[in-house]
Amino acid sequence: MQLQSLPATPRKRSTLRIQRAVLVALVIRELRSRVEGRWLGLLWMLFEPLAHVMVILALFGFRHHATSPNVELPVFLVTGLLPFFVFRNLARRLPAAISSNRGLYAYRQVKPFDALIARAIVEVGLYGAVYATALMLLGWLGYHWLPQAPLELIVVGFLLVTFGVGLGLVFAVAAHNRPRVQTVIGFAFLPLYLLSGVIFPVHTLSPDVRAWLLWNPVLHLIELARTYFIAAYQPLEGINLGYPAAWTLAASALGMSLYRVYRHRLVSVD
Amino acid sequence: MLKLHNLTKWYPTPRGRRYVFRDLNFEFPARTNIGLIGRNGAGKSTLMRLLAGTDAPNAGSIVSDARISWPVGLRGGFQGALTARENIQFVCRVYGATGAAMRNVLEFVADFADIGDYFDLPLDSYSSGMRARVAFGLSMAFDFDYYLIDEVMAVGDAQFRKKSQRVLRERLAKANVIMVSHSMQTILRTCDRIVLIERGNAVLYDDVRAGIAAYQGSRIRTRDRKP
Repeated sequence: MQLQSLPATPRKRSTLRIQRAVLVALVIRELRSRVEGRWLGLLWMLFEPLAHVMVILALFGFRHHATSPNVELPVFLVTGLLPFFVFRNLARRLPAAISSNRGLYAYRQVKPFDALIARAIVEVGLYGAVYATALMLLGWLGYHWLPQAPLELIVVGFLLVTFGVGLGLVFAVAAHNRPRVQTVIGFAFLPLYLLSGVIFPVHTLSPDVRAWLLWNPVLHLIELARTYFIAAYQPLEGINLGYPAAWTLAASALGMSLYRVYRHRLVSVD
Repeated sequence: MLKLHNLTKWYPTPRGRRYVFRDLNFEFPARTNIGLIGRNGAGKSTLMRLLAGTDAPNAGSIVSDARISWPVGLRGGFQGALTARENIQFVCRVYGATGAAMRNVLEFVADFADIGDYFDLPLDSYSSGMRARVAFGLSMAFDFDYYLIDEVMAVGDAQFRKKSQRVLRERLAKANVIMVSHSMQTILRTCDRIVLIERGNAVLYDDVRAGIAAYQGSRIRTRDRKP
């Protein structure tokens, strides 16, 4: 028990090094709490979202074709569901990261923003792995499983992630210490799920309704995620990348501004 | 060097802002152990939180080139589902102690806390005394220029308390302490100077006894005012 053997705490580290150290520490901690020290935990972490996809596949598998005979239904579902889940989980689950890491803000290096980013890294990594696994399963089952335009798909993925994180940041500030706001946000995701063309194509709806649906930026991103994946896919008319990109920018800017203004309240320990 | 520069801190309440400090300027004397005293609600804990970097001032700043600890014996930062080892690894990573440095810290805390194989069991299965042992050991494993102590010295059994005192003393050979306590004995034993926090103001007393007397005097006076 001699203090001499202990490391000297560095006097000054660069901001970048501190930031990296905090994120690495938080990501490892987050993974550890999810896995709960068992191999089964690791397996479950991957299997849970995959099971969700498979249940929906089983439920909607009776329809033989999605939009046109060239588009296979499982591919249609996987390429819509997983991008949507990434977005939804980021937006919906990031706010909880602030309160579940509350005790850690006593270490001066750790800020609520780090907790959000660490959780985002874990979610994106997790769903990236699930997406890859689902695609390999599709390939194994003999379906079309490679994206036709991978670079464009990455751009769409980047937008989905940034939009999710931005919205998550907005919700984190808005719902902090307001459990009812949290409930309302939770409910709002169900209609969004249905209106984003995730499990059924919105192409068949009447033009009036479609014009309204086009206001939904998530629909744009989901449609684009499919367009860049499936060669034969006919995207909905009026879909473009600029509109959701503008939303993404607005959500991130709003989220970061709100965070900046309310950052002291978010750390309030008691 | 540890300086408060135009420090302003308020908290929002349903009846407007409540100021704890308003444009407070104060320089902590170098190389001294400081006892912060004051009545409940005077702002001692707020000042400690500001010093620890947990909370930020609304205006002004804390100017310092010193390494300031987290509140010694802090247990809030522990995650119950993780083991003591994993929780300590987290703090090591945050403080940049990786590899061999991390191993040394783990060894030190395991040895100091002396809780046997509980060290590798989830914290939820610990008694509060065991948690306190790990928390205190972890605080002592890092060298800081200032250790912030907020009334936690009396944890664990008599033997552990003696051990904690010894290791703290060893640390204080090269570092200093800023301590909040309502126990004047503890203050007398550890501190060289007193900072009395009163109505958003900080007054330095070079003589510990004079500081305590001023605090107790002010306490009696306020008691007289409200019958």
